[in-house]
Amino acid sequence: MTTYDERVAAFKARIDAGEKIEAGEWMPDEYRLAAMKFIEMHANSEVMGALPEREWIPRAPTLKRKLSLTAKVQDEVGHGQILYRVAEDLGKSREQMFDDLVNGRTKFHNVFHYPTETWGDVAVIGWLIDGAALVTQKALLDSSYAPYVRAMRRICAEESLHLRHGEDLALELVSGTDEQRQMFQDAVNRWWRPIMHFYGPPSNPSKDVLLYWGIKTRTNEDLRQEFLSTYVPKLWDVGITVPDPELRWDESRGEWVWGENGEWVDWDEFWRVVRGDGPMTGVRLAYRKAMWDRHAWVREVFAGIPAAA
Amino acid sequence: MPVWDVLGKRTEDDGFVVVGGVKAPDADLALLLARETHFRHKEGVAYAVRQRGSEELHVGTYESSMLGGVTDRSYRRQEAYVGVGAKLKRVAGELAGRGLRIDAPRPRVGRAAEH
Repeated sequence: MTTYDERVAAFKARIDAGEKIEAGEWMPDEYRLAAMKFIEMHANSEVMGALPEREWIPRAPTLKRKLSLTAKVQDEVGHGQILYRVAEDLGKSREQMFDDLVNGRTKFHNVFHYPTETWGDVAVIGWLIDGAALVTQKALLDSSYAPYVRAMRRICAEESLHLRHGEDLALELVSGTDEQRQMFQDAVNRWWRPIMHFYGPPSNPSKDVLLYWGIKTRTNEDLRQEFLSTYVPKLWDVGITVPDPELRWDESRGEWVWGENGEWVDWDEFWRVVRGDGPMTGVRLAYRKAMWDRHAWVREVFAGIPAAA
Repeated sequence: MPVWDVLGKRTEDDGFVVVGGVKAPDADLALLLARETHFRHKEGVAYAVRQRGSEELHVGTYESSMLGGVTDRSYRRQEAYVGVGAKLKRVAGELAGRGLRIDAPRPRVGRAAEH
């Protein structure tokens, strides 16, 4: 008889060989729980990430921008729907995940706990934060969990569209009046620290359970470096400064040096925010809860239809 | 509530492949949810759902030309932003001409992809 440890070892060997795991296959509890928690947090971030931009739909400067922003918000909520479905197969109902989210028992990405003060913030979210997310999400296309990979294929295609939309918004501001350029610069200054926090603290790969199981395939710092290489030169090209005075490209090391020990990072703030004490956490969770309660009738109608024979 | 695999065809020559899943009480609602969550951006020419554990395929009735809508909603798709890369180059050139470009050491072009 095969022991549990032998089954786990065989499972790990499949992952190490590059095989994908399908929903419903046998998997160790450690794998299932790690994947579920990670995908649930991702789904939470999609539905909460729609809110900072949703706040600007009524104030979008043109009809074209209003249509684009509305479509983007719909996409983000749709990503949440797709990801909750993937997470459900790992053993937790969508209702429970949403209940945990709106009652502050589970996390979502740090950047969605902050306020959007101007239209410049919408451009920063659309270009730099969606850009940061896309770096992470493209890396997940190599994840070991096949249903997550299928979801990410769709999500990455839409996020690429969102990124172009955000870049277009940013270019409009940086090539506009002095006031418009300053609006974008101010937004970059305010968002830079949350963006550096976005990838999380540098982690020890040997202790990262998500890396061990191939659910994630790249380290936090590796992803942050790719973001810096992709976006800092573009910001500099359009004359936008980055507020971290220590940020520089070190050719000899082949990497970016950034203020990870200075004022441009504060991991206490990061942990405080993701644990539910960000400047907009309470407001946005209360809004989500109100919508969840208000639309209960839709779920009840669905639940009331007899299941297919 | 039953789980339904969502399947799609990218082109008429393709076969159906699984692209995701939805939960719905019956096939009609599963098809509606599948269309809205997976085929809103003209991602394919045909769609279908199959209740998990069953072999029966329920194919959506929308014609390929109708799938994803018939009005101009290009702002939902990449094609609306194909000129953004060129716009970045043009704006960067104009701002360099005004002396606003920030010259600082940076990775060689293509280095970003190496990370």
